Amino acid sequence: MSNFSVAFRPRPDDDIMVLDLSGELDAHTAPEFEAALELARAGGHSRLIVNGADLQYVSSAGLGVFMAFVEPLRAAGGDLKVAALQPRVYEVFDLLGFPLIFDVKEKEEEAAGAF
Amino acid sequence: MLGAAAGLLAYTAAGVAPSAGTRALMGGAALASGLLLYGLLAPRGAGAEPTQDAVGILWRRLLVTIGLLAAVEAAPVLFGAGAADARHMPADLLSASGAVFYSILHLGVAVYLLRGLRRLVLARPTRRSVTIWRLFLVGTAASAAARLLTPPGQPPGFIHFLVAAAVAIFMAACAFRQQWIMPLPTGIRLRAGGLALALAIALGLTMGESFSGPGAVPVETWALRLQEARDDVPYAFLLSPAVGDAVAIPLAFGLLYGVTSALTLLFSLPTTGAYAQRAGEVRAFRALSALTLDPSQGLDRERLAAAVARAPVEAGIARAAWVALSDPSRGTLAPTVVAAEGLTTAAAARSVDAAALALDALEQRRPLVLARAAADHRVRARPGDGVGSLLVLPLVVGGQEHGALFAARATPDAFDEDETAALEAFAGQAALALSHAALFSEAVERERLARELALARDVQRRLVPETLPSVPGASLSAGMRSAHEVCGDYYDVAELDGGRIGILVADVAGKGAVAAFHMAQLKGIFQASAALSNSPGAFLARANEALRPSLGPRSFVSAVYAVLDPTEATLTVARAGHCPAILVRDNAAWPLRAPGLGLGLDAGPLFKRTLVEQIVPLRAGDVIAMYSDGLVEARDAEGGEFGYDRLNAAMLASVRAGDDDPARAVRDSLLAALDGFADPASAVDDTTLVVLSWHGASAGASDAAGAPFTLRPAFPEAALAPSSATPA
Repeated sequence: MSNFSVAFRPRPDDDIMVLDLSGELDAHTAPEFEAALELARAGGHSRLIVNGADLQYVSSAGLGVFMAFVEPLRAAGGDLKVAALQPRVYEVFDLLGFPLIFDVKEKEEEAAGAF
Repeated sequence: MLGAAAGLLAYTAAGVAPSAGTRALMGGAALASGLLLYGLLAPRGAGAEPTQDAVGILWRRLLVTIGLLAAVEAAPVLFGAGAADARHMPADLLSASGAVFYSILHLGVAVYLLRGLRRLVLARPTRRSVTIWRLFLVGTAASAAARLLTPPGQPPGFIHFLVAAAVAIFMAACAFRQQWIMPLPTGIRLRAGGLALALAIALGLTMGESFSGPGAVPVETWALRLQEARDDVPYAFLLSPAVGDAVAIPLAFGLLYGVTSALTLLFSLPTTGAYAQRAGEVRAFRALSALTLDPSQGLDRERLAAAVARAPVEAGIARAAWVALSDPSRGTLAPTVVAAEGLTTAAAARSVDAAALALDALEQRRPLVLARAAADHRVRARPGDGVGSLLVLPLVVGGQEHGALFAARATPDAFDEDETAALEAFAGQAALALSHAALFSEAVERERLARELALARDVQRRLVPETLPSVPGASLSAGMRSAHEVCGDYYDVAELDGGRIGILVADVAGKGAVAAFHMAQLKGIFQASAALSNSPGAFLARANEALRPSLGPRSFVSAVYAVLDPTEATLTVARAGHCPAILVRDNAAWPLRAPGLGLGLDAGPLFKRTLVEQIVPLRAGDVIAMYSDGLVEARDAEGGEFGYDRLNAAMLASVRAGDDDPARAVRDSLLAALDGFADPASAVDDTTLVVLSWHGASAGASDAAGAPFTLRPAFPEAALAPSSATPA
């Protein structure tokens, strides 16, 4: 079941780190995602985009990780933006009202432009 | 004995030599009394382990032997140097009395000697050694008995020779049984050796005096020759040759045993330390295994660590020892000193970098031998602190790493290979015991948790309403299933003013105990503040404010709250990040999905500004389902979700006119549809379902073709006012 993975991808043109998520982000895989975000932050990256093109599922535990990181990143002058979610995953974000708190964009470029 | 003595005295007084038969009878009586005495001297009870009393045994025998020697030397003074036919009879009553006295004395000493030596010979007895000892005793008695018929001065017969030869063999066999020596400490060993040698000398002198000295009697084979060389032997003081045998053999055995013991003790002196250590090791191992095998005592980690630290010191292998353990359950992965022996725990922690050494030993999976401890950078102890050489033994069993046992001695190069190997084996045992202890405490903890969860589950069941209020024109039905011991779902119904009913369904993000805690908190908030307002938005905003401080940065609660006004026939619904309630009307399903943030995501302003209420003017036949995401996210065996489409279809199919209790019918058929799709036993999330059906009057005239609801901001003033909390 645990087919979740996170890949780091620094964007060449701007100081933005992209986290490519794939698989299912649930209570079991949330710590992995959290560790990745922590690593990025510890590496001095405060402008992060989570690219969910390959993300199949997100549970409330996964959403909780987004919540935990957005405020510290904003306090550090950066932000956590979300891009390219599949409709099913977007639905979960949307139900909870996440688009009211996060920049959730259809394309990664849009998200990068919103910093 | 007394009979034999009286007989001898009587015959002497009469001046008549007794016949051979009478002599034999008297000798036999004397032997029998000796055997009786041997039996009487048997120790009462089990008797102490001879190793603890070896010096005492030897010392008492030595004193008694010296006493006998003195008595023999005093014989001419006490009983006169009366002339006698040494080969036959005492010459007068005085010397006859002497013969009786010395016979009794010698026999008594011989028996006392045998009794004492028996305890030494049969220390740690084996079946074979016990048999040999008995054969020796029987042989001695047989040898003496064989002499009964021999008149004094006559050489013993052939049978006696055979018996005596056999006795000599058993005697020799017994003389090499020295099991009592091994466990003795060095100091005791030296004393025991000296005493054994002294006893051998004293016995030799006594035998010389008794059988060939001034008071000697020509009774024995070897004494006979001595006696023949000395014709001036004044008188006989032993009753008969048989008694002579019965005395000479034990005395000779005592002499032999004294010599072999002294030699064994002296030769084993260099290895005494090793023996003591082995014995100590055995004690240490025993102490440890006793501790680990008693679950009521030993399965406590701290006590076990203390016992592990104590063992090497008690065994005399180390001057000081300490145990460093890691404790993942308390988040300390680096081993820290938890118990020490021979120095304080704090001093042990100061003396070395326990974590670095333990991790090194654990990594190597074998003992770390620091022959010159002061030269190692991880040892902080200075010369003179008692850490001259240090052994670091990994406490690891299977893949489970506990930490390390440290053993220190004051001098460099102090641990030899044997000691290292012994401690290594010991550390293996200790690691196993620690593993058992860990397993035991985990099991206890699990049981305790299970009990507490069962209690929590009980409490939680009482947090959701047992009965739902009856509302004119409406029917209500609810169901909840938890996928875990305790669940994070919650539903409740409150009676508000004007006959209104508030219905709440909520889902705390996450599962288990923390979710259950927030659920209980929500229950409190609902009970306290639902009745304060008829606006679902107002309640949700209040719940958001109340929950926000206690919810962690990554937890939130989603909720949907509906207020039914039976008088007006309206249902007002507000949604805080929750799955949309579904309205079924005229064979169509309408998700009630007005905007609204989850509870706890925002401090308040954004929440209020974005929250929208939906007002549904009810019509007879309307059915509304409120549920948690466990319902739509339930998965079948292939991993497919139940989803909204199936939910809508199931609801449409289940709404039938004419049911007595339509809400209950819808609830049951929805749950049945869910169970037909996914195995309830494999559910990963809690599932809650509340169904409301309306069969009262229809509210006003509404446009049948348009949407069945209207929208309005829950907080119009907040929605209009500019806010600083605008998202970036």
